[in-house]
Amino acid sequence: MEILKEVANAVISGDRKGIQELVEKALNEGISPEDIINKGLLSGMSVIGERFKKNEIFVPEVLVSARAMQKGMEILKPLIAKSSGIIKGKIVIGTVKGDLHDIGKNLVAMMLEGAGYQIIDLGIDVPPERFVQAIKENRPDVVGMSALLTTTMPQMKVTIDVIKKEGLRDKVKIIVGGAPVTEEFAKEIGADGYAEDAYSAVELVNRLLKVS
Amino acid sequence: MPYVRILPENKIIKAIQGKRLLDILIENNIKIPSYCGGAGWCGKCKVKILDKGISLACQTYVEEDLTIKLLKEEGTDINIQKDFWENSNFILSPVITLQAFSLEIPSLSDSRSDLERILAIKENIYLRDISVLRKLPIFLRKNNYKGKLVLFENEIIDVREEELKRVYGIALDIGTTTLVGHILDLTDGSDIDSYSTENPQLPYGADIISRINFIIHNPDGLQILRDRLIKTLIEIIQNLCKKNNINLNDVYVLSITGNSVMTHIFLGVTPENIAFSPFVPVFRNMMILDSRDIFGNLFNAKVYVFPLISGYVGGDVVAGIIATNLLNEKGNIMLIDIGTNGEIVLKSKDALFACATAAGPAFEGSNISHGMIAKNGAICHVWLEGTVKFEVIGDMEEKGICGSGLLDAISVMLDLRIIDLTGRFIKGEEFCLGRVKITQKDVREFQLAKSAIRAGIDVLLNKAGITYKDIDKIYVSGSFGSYLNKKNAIKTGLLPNIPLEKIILVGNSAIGGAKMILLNRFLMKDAEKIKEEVNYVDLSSDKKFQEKFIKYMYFGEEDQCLMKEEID
Repeated sequence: MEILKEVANAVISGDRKGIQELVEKALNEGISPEDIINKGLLSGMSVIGERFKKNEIFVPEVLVSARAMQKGMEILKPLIAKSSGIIKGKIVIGTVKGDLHDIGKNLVAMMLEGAGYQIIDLGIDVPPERFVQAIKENRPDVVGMSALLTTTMPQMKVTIDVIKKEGLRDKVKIIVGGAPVTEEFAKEIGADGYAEDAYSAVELVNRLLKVS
Repeated sequence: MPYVRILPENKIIKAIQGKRLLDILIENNIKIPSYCGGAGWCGKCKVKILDKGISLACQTYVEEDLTIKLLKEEGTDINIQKDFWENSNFILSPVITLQAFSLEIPSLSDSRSDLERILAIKENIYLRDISVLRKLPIFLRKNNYKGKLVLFENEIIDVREEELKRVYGIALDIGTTTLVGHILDLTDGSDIDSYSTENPQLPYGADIISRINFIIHNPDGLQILRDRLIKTLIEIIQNLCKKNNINLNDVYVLSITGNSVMTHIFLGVTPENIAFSPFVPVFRNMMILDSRDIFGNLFNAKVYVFPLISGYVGGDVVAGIIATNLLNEKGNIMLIDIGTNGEIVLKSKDALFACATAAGPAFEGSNISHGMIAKNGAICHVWLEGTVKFEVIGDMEEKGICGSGLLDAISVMLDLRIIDLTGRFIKGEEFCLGRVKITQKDVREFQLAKSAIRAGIDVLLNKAGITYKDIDKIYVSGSFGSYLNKKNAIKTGLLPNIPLEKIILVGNSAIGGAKMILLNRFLMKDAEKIKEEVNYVDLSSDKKFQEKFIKYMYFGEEDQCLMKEEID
């Protein structure tokens, strides 16, 4: 459908102002919020993700697009809640203790939110206890941890160990990411998954929770 | 025997055939900088050989008559020091002074102790070092109660024979990548010689975070890194003395400058807590130590260690502030040190701000496909002259590209529209300079590094409540800072768009400050003042920084920033 393509293009070009109008227009044409998200917003973001992977675009473009997507989501989120009441899953996310970097983490949060997940963002410099507390309070499906520094990476293992000790490990899937983090490291510390970028993070969570 | 003609002085010197040009120049007292002691990697001893091009003097052997031109690299530290001393009221008042004495010979009517006699020589002097006390009775009687006291401020650190005329000090800059030492004559203030070598900790990682990781993960990590460092520093000290026929016993003071992590390791104090938020160092104070506690019984000197501003802004920055006289200059002045870390200082009215950005690796050649440091075979400059031209250090086939070359290359790529203002390749997938290629990933690495520095500049300007238009002067220091093309630095957005004459390249400002403090003991007070007064701005927790960091990733000036809507 033409209008969905336009929505996707608005995400790709990062048109924050135009996107809300386009989303309204799509709704008026009777397209379901789910379709606008999946075939419009997210399909635009997937193009951005691919381009980023191929090095065609850089961090700023991805952020601009993500923010355009978020603008579109603002309109659609209340509607999905009303229409289906279904959230695909709950995700607690944060940058580990000692680390204050959150550009990557914020991007992942935005993408997941766009993909229909509820995000509980604990922010930066999050000690293991706060992750534990958030798990107890929110009963999330997934816990996501981010670290940019090689010196703070070990905090991921520390956090997982504390979650284990609290007897919560089998209640959540744990995913990790950040510039220095690798697939092997994720396995080594006993995480359930690793994604190299924000777009892959959505695929990873979908896979872990067996949703599409 | 071949002759070497030296321009612009037009001096002609005889050379032994096959002898190294650098040695010939040094032997004939021609001033030429060499940090690596002729090892061929610092790139400082570049000369222009007529009809042949640029070459490193240490890699050139004289086989036939040569005409060379000495290149006045703008702002090598030798020049800045000289300029500084000439232009300011720098008073030579070294930390070490000699006090001649001729004592009354003891008698039954004057049976004061040896020490009392000594302490009566000058007011307020004192003795703390027991080894001097042990030496005293034999020395006095052997030398007929005549001699010289060696004083560090008011402390007697040695007694020496009357004939002693000259005493020396050594300034050491412990960089993450490079160690530099200078030996100075403290009696006339002359900078006798310098020596430089790679930091022997390099095999344990190129940046401070990887060194800290090594310490965290190895029980002996700190010891290993420290032992390597101390061993190499001793080599530098011995080398400087040997080369210049200076007795190690005549060296009475060392000044040590370095980033906070290097300073911690030098003292054998763990730097690990600097790596995590809230980035706490073990100490910030300046230290005055006995060399025996650090270097063993090799010699007996005082070791002055520069104070630190924070975990990420160390004694090298304090020394840089001293070298550029930032405390006393008027106006809004910045000091940007582009090394493995990029530290930025802003002096505005009466306030001083400083921050550190993790910008370095790209400018030092790492993370770049064909990146290398500025040594033989490195493309150091790239420009357009009809076609793309480039200059290779050593006038040889290009092996790689160094930071200044990369900056120039990116600027040329922008001019030729090979990349667009977002940094994306729009013509082809790589840019070739002979065998050296610059890839999309390299451009991205450069963008990350340059926007970190540019964003840091903005955050400090913000703190001071001014804009880049209010900047009166920017000092750029660091090895990359010696070769920087100012115009391209502005064009690529590394530096704000200010008139070129306001940008001053100053070479290694850390070693400059370390040298000055040996020659003027009052500067130690300035160093303390700097430590107290500089407001450290932590960028990793600064929201504005992240915003600007993203904003400046693109090319183009602030006024025509590509981001149509500012990211908020």
